[in-house]
Amino acid sequence: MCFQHGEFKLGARDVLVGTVGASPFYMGADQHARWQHTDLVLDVVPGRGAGFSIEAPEGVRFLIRSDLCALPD
Amino acid sequence: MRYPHPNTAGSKLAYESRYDNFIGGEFVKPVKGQYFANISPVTGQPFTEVARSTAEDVERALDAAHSAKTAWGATPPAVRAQMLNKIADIMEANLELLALSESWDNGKPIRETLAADLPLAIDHFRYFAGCLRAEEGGMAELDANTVAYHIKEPLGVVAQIIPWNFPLPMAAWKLAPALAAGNCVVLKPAEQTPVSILLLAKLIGNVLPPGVLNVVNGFGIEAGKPLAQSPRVAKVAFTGETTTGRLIMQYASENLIPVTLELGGKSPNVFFADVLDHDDDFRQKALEGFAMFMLNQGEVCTCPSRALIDKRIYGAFLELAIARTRQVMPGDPFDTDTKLGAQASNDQLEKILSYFDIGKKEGAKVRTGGERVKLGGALAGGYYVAPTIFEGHNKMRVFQEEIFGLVVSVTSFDGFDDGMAIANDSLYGLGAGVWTRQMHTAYRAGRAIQAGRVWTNCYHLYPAHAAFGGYKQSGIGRENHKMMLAHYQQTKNLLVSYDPKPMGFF
Repeated sequence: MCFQHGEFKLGARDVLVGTVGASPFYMGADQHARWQHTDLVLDVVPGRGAGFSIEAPEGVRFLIRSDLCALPD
Repeated sequence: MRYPHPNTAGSKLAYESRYDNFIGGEFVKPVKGQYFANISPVTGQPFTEVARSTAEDVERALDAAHSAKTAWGATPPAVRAQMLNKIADIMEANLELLALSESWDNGKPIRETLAADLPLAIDHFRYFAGCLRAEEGGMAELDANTVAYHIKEPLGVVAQIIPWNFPLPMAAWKLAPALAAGNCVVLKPAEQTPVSILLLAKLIGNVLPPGVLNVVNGFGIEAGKPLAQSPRVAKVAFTGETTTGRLIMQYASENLIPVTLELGGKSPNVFFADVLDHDDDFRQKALEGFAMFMLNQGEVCTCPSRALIDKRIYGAFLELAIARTRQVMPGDPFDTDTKLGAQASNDQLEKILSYFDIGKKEGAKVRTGGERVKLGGALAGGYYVAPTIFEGHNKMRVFQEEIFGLVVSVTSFDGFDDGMAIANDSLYGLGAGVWTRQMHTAYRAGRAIQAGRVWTNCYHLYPAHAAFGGYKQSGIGRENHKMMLAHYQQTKNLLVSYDPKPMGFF
């Protein structure tokens, strides 16, 4: 989901994974615990996203692809 | 038999070229005059266009709802119940037409919309009509002269945002209790499936007083957000994805209003060793239970997408389950023999394909499926997928994340405690299945699994009068049961003294 800055209230447990352009990219703590061993690729596909994500009216949807990566020692 | 596709020769269903919003009892053009193309996943082609609403349209719908709420809330229960029954009767009389639309807009097989989706939606209105007639408040005698009366009152105007996987049943699940309880509704359908509910609104338009039911279509960000954020709604009911559920709760916190949420799932389907004890009907029933991950193309929040099989029968059961799964492939949803239709949208298809990739890279073994299916002719552009069985372990992402497609992830468990631990190792807690011939095991497992609905020796039944809702991150509230009425009501307490003497404080 991609929201306007400030739209989504972050919680203390949300994890900042990185930034895309000038936008921070967060993940819920529980999900991060399960995804932390993956490299994430933020892709865009044609479609009609659900939810309140801002890209839906453009006829596209963000999609995360991922590869396994080695866990840091 | 095969039904002709809508908008083709011989079909009962010819769509209009454009659909407006349903506000105040009539169809109203969107204020900004914008529309979006509505695509059928059966063919991947657009077939009509639908109002692309904005905050202005939401306000207009809220105006209509607010002007109707006082009279509707004061309408006698017998009259409201009669209207719900009338809605059910009209739906029944138009069952085939609505089923055709549901299949065309969503991609699901006509076999299911005719036999399940529509009959269940119809029954839902009748069920809540009955609940309403039978409902009463409470009275408690606190002492000889003091009585507490508890009277149910409607909330007023409520917002409902519904999903695309069962457009009409999900509308019925939300509308029936809300209307029964005396509320006026502004409903936003999912942008993937906006049309069936408009056909319904057209059919039942003159049953309800103007403004009691309002349907505003559009995108989440443009129409759903101003609705969910509005200080003019007394409650928001939402079914959909978990992040959006969290956002809706945040909006509700700004207005201090209640929400009910029905969110994601990754439901475990647990098969104990005794299911294979005899080669009988029950063995077949259990295998059918495994195959239930295919129902509605896997696009069900309670999809039994994790199959946990007792290790004592693991290999034998899985071979039988794979053989059974391979008997089913997607086809034309309008053929009554077709059991699997199209995934509901292109992005849903892409998401499922991306999980094929994720599962393979994580080392899960594809036992069958794992690819897109290309059908010919008019269906060439549709979104079809082969039923897919992954074998792996419960820490893998294909075991932990909701894929919402024709994918089941299979692993084994070693003994009751291990089975329950794996079943509960999930963020979600919506549905679960338990399969065993032993009633003691069945009861213990059903109680041990942290999920709102544990189907025991059955799966994917959704009768009215069986409460449905989530534990953990799967949501808040219980639909499909008279207890949902309470989620759409205030409780008014009149605390009355029948003692003529002073109370004696001052």
